[in-house]
Amino acid sequence: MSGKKSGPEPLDQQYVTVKDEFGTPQMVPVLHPRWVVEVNFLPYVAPPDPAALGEEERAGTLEEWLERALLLEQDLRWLLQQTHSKFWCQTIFDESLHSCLNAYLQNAPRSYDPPLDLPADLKQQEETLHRLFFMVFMRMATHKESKENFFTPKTFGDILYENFLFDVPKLMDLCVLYAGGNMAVLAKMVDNVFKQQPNYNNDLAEVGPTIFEVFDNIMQKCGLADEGGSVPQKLSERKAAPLQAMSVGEVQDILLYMRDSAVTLLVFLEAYPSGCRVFHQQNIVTRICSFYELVVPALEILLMDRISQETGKTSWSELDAVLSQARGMLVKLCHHIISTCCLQPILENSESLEAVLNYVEDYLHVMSAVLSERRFLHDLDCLFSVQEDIDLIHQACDSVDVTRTDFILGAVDQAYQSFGKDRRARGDGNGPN
Amino acid sequence: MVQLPRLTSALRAFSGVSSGNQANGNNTISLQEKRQLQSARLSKSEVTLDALTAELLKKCVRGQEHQIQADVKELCHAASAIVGDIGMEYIHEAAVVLFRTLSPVDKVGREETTRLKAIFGPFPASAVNKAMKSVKAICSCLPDSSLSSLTCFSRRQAQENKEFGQGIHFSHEGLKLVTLSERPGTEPKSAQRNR
Repeated sequence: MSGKKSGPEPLDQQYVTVKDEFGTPQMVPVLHPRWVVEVNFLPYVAPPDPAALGEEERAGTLEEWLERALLLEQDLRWLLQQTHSKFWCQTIFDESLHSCLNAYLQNAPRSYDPPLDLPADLKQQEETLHRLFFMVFMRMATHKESKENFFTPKTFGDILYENFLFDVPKLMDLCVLYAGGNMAVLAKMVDNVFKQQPNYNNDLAEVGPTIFEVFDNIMQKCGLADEGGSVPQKLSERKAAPLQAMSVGEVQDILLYMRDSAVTLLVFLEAYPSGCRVFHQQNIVTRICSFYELVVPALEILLMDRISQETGKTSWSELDAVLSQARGMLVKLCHHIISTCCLQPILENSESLEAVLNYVEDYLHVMSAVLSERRFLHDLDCLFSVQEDIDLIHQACDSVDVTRTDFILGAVDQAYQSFGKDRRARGDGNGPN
Repeated sequence: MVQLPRLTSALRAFSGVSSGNQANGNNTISLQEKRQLQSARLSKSEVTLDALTAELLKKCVRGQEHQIQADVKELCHAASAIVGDIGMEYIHEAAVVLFRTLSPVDKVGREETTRLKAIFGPFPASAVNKAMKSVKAICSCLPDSSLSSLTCFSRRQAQENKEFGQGIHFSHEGLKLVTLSERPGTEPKSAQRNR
């Protein structure tokens, strides 16, 4: 790539002069497939579980994975060492890189997945790849790398969007994989992607119905779907396997799916709080609460029964721990959305009474809508004090109708009294988790 | 690897916001093919063995030329043991890679092994030790100034190709999940505040 124009021009506006087959000089964009190097990135494969391998195949399988990982490391380091223009040519036009990155996001182990007992060198290699992939995504989310190396912001957003370099599921995967200790950087990355390409917000709104379908499907699998709903059901779909007849594997799938869904949504919305409003407008909190109210008690009863029947077997107890995490994350997700969309804006807009009243009304509306979900209300108050949230509202606005807030607090009390007493009346001192 | 249920898999499949062409693992390139491609790609930026030998002969202590040539031959034998009998071109490229990797160090450490494995795939430790011996023999025929200029050259190249993200703090810490194991019927937080 010679003949680059001098001066800091955006990468998307840079051209180089090359000679065609007849020796005639031609202007070619710096961002062009002709500059792609044939790297052939191997698609990422998750490390094998040594415990699931036989004695004979173990060493070979682990060694093969390590070899693939080393080759991948080499290619990723090479990619990160490229100049701005070469990096972006490869990133935009190399399909093997797209497959590789996508495979990592989909298949990389999450920190909450069952841990693998990997040999030290494989574990270290996995960590090396984890960091390198993050740096590649970070570079992809950066439209201005230096004073000399930058994009026109709008073109940058269009490049990301049109080439599917990021999409909503990818951004969610990124958050799940890296939010643990890199939240600040991750939030900047995700925010920049949404900022440069507002179409991602439309996509976010589009994934809402699929998220609700995921929760509906879980209810259906548990045999708890609302059959009186407006959508007609096929006869074959009406008889879902009853929860009590499910094997440990089937219940495990449901619980892992629940937990993954809750964690994914929560960490994504923590990294990108503006997304809360998109889902809030689709009434995600009430949808999750209804789901919670139906599914959590049913799963609790199932697990309690199985644990008491099958003493000595650890699998059901392990699932109980997964349910506890799924519950915690679902409740935290709902509170995060309520807090981001209603409570924080009350504090931030304290100078405008009209705005405060709107947010207060929104809060009261959401909470009133979930008052009948006693189990959810109980669990919400276990993690986040409803009283504190209501105190905040009263402090911000004197004119809030006390009757309405008392009604909410009364429902919280009732959730403990009626629901709690009922549970104790079962004679099970421990109760389900 | 067991495929665990993921929300994002459902979103990819059903929400219509992802590319329908997101191949996952359908890249059918074999490890052997990949290894050869990698080696060929890396060698493009390297000097040829002939050029390297000429440079070494130019810089070596007078009278050591024959020794250098013999050691380079030994290095090629070691390279052959590492990459296999896949043609002189590849063996010469491998010898250059070995020289570049091993000349700045005193012994074959983890970093060098990792780097070489990524290029050549698995190889017997004895072969790389033999290569190290040849490289050391070559270096012993060079005056210190030439050796340090060679090492400086490698370092300068590495610095020119600085890896993006090297200065960025990265944490391997995992997510901390909130668990909800409170039993129904315990004292409500709101009630504890004596409203």
